[in-house]
Amino acid sequence: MKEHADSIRLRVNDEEEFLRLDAGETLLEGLRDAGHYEVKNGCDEGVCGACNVILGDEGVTRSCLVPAARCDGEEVMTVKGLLDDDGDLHPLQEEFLARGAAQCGFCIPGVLVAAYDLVQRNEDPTESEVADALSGNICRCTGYVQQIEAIQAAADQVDRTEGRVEADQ
Amino acid sequence: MSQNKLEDDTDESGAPADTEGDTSAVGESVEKMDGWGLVTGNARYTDDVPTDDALAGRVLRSPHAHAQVRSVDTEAAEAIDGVKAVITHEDVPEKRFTRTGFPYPAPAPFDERVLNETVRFVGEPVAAVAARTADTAERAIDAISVEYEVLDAVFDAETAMDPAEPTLHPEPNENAQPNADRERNVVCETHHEEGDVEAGFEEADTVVEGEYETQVVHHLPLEVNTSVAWIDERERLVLRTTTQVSHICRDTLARAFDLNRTDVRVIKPRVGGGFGVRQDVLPCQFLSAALALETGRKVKLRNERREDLHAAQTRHAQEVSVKTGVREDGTITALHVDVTSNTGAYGCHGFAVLSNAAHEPMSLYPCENRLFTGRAVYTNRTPGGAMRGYGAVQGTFGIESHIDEVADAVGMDPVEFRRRNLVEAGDESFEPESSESKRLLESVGVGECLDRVCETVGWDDRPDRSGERYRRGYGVAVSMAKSGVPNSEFARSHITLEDDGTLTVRVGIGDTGQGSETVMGQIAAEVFGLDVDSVYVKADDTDAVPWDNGAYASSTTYVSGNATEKAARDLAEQVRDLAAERFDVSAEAVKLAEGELRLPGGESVSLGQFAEDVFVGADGPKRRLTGSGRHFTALSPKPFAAQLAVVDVDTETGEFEVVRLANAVDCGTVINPEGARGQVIGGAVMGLGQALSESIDLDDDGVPDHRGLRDYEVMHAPDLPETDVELVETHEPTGPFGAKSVGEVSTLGPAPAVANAIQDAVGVRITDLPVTAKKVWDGLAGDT
Repeated sequence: MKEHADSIRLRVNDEEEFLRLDAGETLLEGLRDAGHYEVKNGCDEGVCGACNVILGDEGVTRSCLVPAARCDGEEVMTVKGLLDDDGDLHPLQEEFLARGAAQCGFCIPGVLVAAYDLVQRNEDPTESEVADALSGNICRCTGYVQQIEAIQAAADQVDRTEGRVEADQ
Repeated sequence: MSQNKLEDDTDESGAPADTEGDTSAVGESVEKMDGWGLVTGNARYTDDVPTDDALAGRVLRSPHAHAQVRSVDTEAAEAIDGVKAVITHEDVPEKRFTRTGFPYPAPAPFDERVLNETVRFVGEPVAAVAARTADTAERAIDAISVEYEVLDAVFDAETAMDPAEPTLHPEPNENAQPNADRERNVVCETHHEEGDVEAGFEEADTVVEGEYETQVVHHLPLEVNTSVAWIDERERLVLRTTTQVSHICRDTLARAFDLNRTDVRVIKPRVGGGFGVRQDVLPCQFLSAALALETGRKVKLRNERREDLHAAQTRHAQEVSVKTGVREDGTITALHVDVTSNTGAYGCHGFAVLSNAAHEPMSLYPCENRLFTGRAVYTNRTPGGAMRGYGAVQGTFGIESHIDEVADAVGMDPVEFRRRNLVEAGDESFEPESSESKRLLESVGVGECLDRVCETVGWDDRPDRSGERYRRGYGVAVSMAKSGVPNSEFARSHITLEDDGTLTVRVGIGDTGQGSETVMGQIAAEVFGLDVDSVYVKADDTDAVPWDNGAYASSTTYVSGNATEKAARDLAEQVRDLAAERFDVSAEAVKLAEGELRLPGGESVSLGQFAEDVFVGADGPKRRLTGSGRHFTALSPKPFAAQLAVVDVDTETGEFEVVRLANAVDCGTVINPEGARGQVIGGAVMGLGQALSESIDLDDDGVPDHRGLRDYEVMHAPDLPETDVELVETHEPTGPFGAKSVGEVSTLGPAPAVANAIQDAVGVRITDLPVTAKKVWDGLAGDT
């Protein structure tokens, strides 16, 4: 039905993918069309952070603002990249569940990507460092408090010594 | 925060003592049942399924605030290759209805159609298109030519009541509300007096009057309003959509399109928030249904964020006047609250939001003489809808701001003044006679809540910084909400014992993230002493679950929770009967606890083993057990809150910061402490957004004055004050395991608490929301 104007190769969560693109598509649209429904469209104007992904060296990126055609050869990490090779939850995800930090969940893929970026860099973030890391995310349900607590609790469980992030048991 | 375990008091509540020992589910912060999907990105919302086979729907919206649609020329649009349908008001049923999500007929005039010949606000749908691609649909929208006769418009409620102003709905409508006056754009008027308010003012030593005003804000759920509609293989209309009232959505669509109820199915997948905006049957739901019926094809209609902000229902703007008579000793002798509520272009929630606006906050002060007058008024604004707090945000801002002024007038501390006048257990509430809770409030923890926040923050030791540039101020507000609409809510729950001892709960609740599926699972698990992992709650499909009014009025835990507890107890009784037969003992002697059947003589068998034993073999199928429960009630027990804001104000600029917000909430028994805490914080932060920054303003032509989300200022994580939450447990004897509701009450207090704190800090009374630095500065400048 659709005519595809272009195509790109990406590594999404460590897997090679071939995305066919419509003219002018954003990375958000391209990823969702390829079945990555975990990347959410909350505003389409770069404000809410629900579409956050980690894009190559650029770090946390709003995928609704990036033309997909520009991403050929890039590495992309979505919230699904937080799971380990066995499909087990990342400490951030465990703490979000334990602390009621996800209500409707629509903002969560974007919030967790922002949180992941923070805890990779900072093993003991203060409350205000976490809040700043979430400053580009809108959550309308939780009022953020339990999310901040969960991120702080998860930060020191993250093993940063290896390529793969694992729970520090 | 308090995380008190539930006391073993089921006998006192009159419920059968099925369970023994420690509770296993109720009172525990169990993880959300849908949590794994939420944190992994696997949760599927309306638009998270492949829809390559769907036509793209688009809506042509009115650029005028008030206009007659003279003609719509769709020829050029229809001629575009790939356009499958273009519909206008000529193509939709003529019968008028209300989108309002209450059971039929709903307390609202039937004043709208799927597409109206007269458009009454900027952004109102005029036509809709279904086409093979989104681009084609957009080109078709551009190709539609509309001839409008532009009419005068009115945006302010007080102005709209002037007979010289335009009349929005000159035609008589079915289901008109009490004291409607079409010429004056009045949807309804209310007058509720108890005692003799004039005599009460005569008795007073001082009479204090104040006027307060609240703005229009938007729910802003993170998932935009979305609907995918199709015709299934049985020729039925199916919607997969963002709703919090799936059964009402089904019935309203069936009525609007004259279909059998059984020929409409509504699927509610995960929904990205609601907060009331999805308590209505949404324009995108009507339009996607109309386009699917027209084309026979699947149609997806997903609002853009800007469309949602411009055209989805909002909170009502209200003007609240309060007049209080008070004796020198601080006793309130009379209270009169008058509310003018701007309901926008359609009546929708006009009546019920108005009624709620003053009834809830006035109930906090049970003086002998109380009068509530008010009216809901049509204007050329986006229709007001249901939003968390439902009128009481506005009324509480007025009344709780005013109470501080009354305390000041008699020279009393505002907390001491409230303590003197506050409602207590055994008092009546101030609400319509149809509510049986009016005559007796059994669980009332508001006084304890007030004590808790004052102790947490140190009300009695607050600093005196008069004379300094930066002043600190403390402000309190108390609030009351409800647990469902009395005599209206109905819920049914079915629970099946599977042959491995697990439970499937089927209930029609509308979980949009608040955790009500989890709460139902906890209640069912509790009756059997099971772990919640042994319970699956099915709530996403009108074909599969019994009627439930859905998620509004803070009803689910109380009403659907009672139905679910009854269903579980019914099932437990059947299990005991079957065990009695199998083990040749009396049913009364069989106990259910910790997932086990305990028999007289000390023997026990797990529920799973029992189910496997009795449900297999030749007799198995006839023994499959399903418990059923239903709940309908004239009661609506009240949750309460006290909130205390601390602000720091710069006297040289008017800039201020809310540095702390303490919240104490009485929601009865706490079913899930972390879940309840999340409701309290989420509501409080939404209330802070209303207090501080959110506003949808119109330009002179009625066009929303913002480009999209970038211009709508909500609270972000760095904006948060230090936030304390305390759950003050009471026991509501009519609630499931003693529970009331918790979803709305904490949204009510932040605005007046902040306004009161500003007044405390610098002596400036802000009477219109939001409270901004400019208003504080203007107040400071006016003082000098």
